[in-house]
Amino acid sequence: MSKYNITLELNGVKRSNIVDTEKLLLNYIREDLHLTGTKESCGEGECGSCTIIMDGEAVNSCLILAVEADKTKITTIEGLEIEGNLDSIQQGFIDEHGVQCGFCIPGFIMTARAAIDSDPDLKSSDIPGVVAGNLCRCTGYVKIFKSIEKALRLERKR
Amino acid sequence: MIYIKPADKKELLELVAQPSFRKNNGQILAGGSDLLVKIEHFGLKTGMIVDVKSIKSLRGITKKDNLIRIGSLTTLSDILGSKILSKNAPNLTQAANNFAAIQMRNRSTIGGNICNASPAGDLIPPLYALDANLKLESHRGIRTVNIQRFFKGPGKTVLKPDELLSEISFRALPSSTFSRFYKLGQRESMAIAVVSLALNFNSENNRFKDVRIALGSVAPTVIRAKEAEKILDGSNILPEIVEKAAKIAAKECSPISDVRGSADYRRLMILRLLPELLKIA
Ligand SMILES: Cc1cc2nc3c(=O)[nH]c(=O)nc-3n(C[C@H](O)[C@H](O)[C@H](O)COP(=O)(O)OP(=O)(O)OC[C@H]3O[C@@H](n4cnc5c(N)ncnc54)[C@H](O)[C@@H]3O)c2cc1C
Ligand code: FES
Ligand code: FES
Repeated sequence: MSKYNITLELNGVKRSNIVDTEKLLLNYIREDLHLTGTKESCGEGECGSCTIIMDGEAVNSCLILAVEADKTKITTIEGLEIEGNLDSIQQGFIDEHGVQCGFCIPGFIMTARAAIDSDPDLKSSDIPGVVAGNLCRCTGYVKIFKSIEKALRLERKR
Repeated sequence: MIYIKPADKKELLELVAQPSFRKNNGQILAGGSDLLVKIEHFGLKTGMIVDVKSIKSLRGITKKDNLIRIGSLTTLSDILGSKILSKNAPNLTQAANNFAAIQMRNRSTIGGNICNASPAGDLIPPLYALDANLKLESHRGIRTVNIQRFFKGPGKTVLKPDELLSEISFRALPSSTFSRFYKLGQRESMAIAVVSLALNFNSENNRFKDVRIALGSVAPTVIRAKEAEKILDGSNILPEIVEKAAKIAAKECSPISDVRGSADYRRLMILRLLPELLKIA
């Protein structure tokens, strides 16, 4: 197996690691860095459980090689809380009881985070389209949409 | 698995021309949304990945003298956000809008969609209707192939192992052109086309003009419904004519039956959907 040296910034921390060229970014994050908030469900781009933010864009880490993350800037769900303060989307899910089993939630939060960051005018009616690539087997989505709407309200108050 | 990231096009073309690329069953990696699924889930074995994403000159959309050029590494998100395309090639924008979801659109490229050569590739029907040309480059030189002559069958193209698809180009549509795309899937998001249709046409003195109809997922490759186009071109815009053309278009298809739909269903959907897309207004 070939190895490759990657250097990246993950959740604000600079990392330099030697990885197998065959390793998926998802597994680098979960197995090498022990950041297990990023989940795998389908492993083929359908469900969004593995969503992270890479250079400002929401992407599925199950369809990216770890080597492709060289020289990028990545945020995972663990990177949202700052000094004990939850991200407003995390707070939205708590306030609106948007979580059931929770397996899909990190993916929803990261997708929504990237969308709000890249479009300050994002509307409530845009939310279903934004998270169309995230599947949830528990909630029926209504509370998930409400949770993200709550985050929009929280952020706009600031 | 060897991983190489060439810095520019020249380095890339030299790399893929080397015997070691072929010996290792080397693969070009763009967005990876088809390639990594094949490696992870369908047993594709490769000893060499050539990641082309850092070649910036292969990404972008420009318009000059009515000619639109799209670099092969342009992503679906780039396409969806492009004002040049929404103005001058509306059905390409519509196809990008129907494509998977944000996470996939951020990575998937137009070049990957074409080179993967799926009869269900969403960008291919609009590019047929736009009569797009593909620029194929190798260390041996450059050739241009019309998109209708690029595909040989599902997953098969005329691309040589040492060739790169570098650019897609076509003429801008006049703003008066009706330009439409429709994908029938089994659900609204994240669906593979059961059938897809891309049309461009003009109306002049209540007659159809310059009709181009491309159909996806109804044959081994995307096809142009040329007989149906012939019936429509120059004819009065009348329900009987449209119906006749739709019947002929359905006959021009040679679909298969699979988990997403039977061959008969696919033909029936072409028959029903084409008249909807030919409506003026
Ligand atoms: C969950 C999911 C949803 C999807 N939804 C859709 C959908 O709605 N519609 C749709 O059409 N497709 C869909 N696809 C398929 C795929 O995303 C698209 O075909 C995409 O455009 C491929 O682009 P890529 O850059 O990811 O290609 P890659 O996987 O990087 O490459 C695909 C193939 O083309 C070759 N290649 C890539 N670029 C070049 C080039 N410039 N020159 C020569 N060869 C090249 C590669 O070697 C590889 O063999 C989906 C896939 C997944 C996993
Ligand atoms: S695990 Fe990556 S999209 Fe499902
Ligand atoms: S909360 Fe259980 S899958 Fe979404």
